[in-house]
Amino acid sequence: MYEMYQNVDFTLADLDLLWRGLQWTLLVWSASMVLGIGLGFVLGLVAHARVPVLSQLVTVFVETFRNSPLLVQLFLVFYGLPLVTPFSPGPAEAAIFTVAINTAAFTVVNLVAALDALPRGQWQAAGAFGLSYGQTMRYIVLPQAIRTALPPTMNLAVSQLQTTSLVSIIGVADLTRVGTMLYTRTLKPFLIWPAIGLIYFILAKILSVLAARVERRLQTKNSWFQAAA
Amino acid sequence: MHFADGEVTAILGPSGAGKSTLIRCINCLEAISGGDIVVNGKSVREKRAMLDIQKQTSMVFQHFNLYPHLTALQNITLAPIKVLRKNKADVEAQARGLLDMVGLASKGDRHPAELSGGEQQRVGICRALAMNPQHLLLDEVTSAIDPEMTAEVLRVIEELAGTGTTLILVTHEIEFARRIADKVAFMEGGKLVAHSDAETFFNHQSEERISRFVDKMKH
Repeated sequence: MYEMYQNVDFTLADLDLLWRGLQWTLLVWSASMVLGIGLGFVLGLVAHARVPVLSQLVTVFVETFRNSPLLVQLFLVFYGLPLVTPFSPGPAEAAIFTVAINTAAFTVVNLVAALDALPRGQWQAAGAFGLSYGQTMRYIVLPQAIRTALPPTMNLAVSQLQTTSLVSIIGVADLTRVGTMLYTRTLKPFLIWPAIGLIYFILAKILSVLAARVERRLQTKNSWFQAAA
Repeated sequence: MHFADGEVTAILGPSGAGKSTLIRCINCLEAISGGDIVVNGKSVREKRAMLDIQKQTSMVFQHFNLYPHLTALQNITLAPIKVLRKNKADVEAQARGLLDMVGLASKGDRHPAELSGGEQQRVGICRALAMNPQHLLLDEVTSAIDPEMTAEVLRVIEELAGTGTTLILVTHEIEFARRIADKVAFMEGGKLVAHSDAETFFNHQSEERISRFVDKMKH
């Protein structure tokens, strides 16, 4: 009787399901990283420039999203937004939006820390020769600050890949969601979850190896950096 | 106090006298709280005059403050290209000439960290000179450099004296000041205590306190 509702065997169609899950995971991750790091960059500049009102708003934004669970944020966006705004995002939109703003909050912290770490002498050396604020930012400050902010931001991006598994809860058909589907059908947790975990592991490993390579190149190519006056 | 065109003025005085602050105010790096400084008829108190003054005055910093991510050549050419909007090729040719003058012709493509302190400061001087300033402000330019490297920097500054550029240098190198300065200003506790010809200052000093300071600095 029990057996009748079960399809305990895996088929080729399951592989296809996994493949599509992987694509969703990568889509949610890459879209939210691009949007989130981009947004975080802009907000970081606003925060650092101490634009009245705006930079205080950025601080509130950053503190809110850094200090609350992503899952809560997801629920708020997915279930809450349609009630108070004209927007009712689908699972994928809500997922990308939420992971993006969460990532933005952490990116702001990385960028502002890097900007603040720049010696004051750099600002003076730019100002003394008449460079404007924008020129100083563009030619002197940001090239150095981005190099400082890049490693922690790459680490953030790598760890956000695992975090995207949470979006399965609001119904995005990502890897984890596919895992749930296969598990409820076959009831073979010790086969499915290690397999899903392995896929995440491989993805994360690839990304962190790439990140480490970029970091190494930044260091060797710019041996000057530690000696920044 | 007046700085005449082409004149070399050395500003001396104990630490904390406000020497650096004074020249930073001339360059509008610091806002002044009282009084006034007029550069070529323009007051540093006027916000609109700031850029003009900064174009006419150039600063060489105690700690070089070179841009570490740019090569020596790029350090020199950045402001002339972006602020004076000069042609890149012209500025680069000028920069190479300046590097040649300070004995660094072969090091234009090095980053600051690949240069010694003395070399970095000479690049710092080139960076300031590339703006073709009327007034060159030198803020204790040798005090962060190893003693054996200071000579090469001082030699460059000595060559600049008498080329028509007004030099205002804050220094602790008394002997050097004696050699190149036309005028000497002595500051203490944020106040100008003495301002006279170098000859009078060093050889006919009436204030005993100042003579004692000068004697002490000699050793």
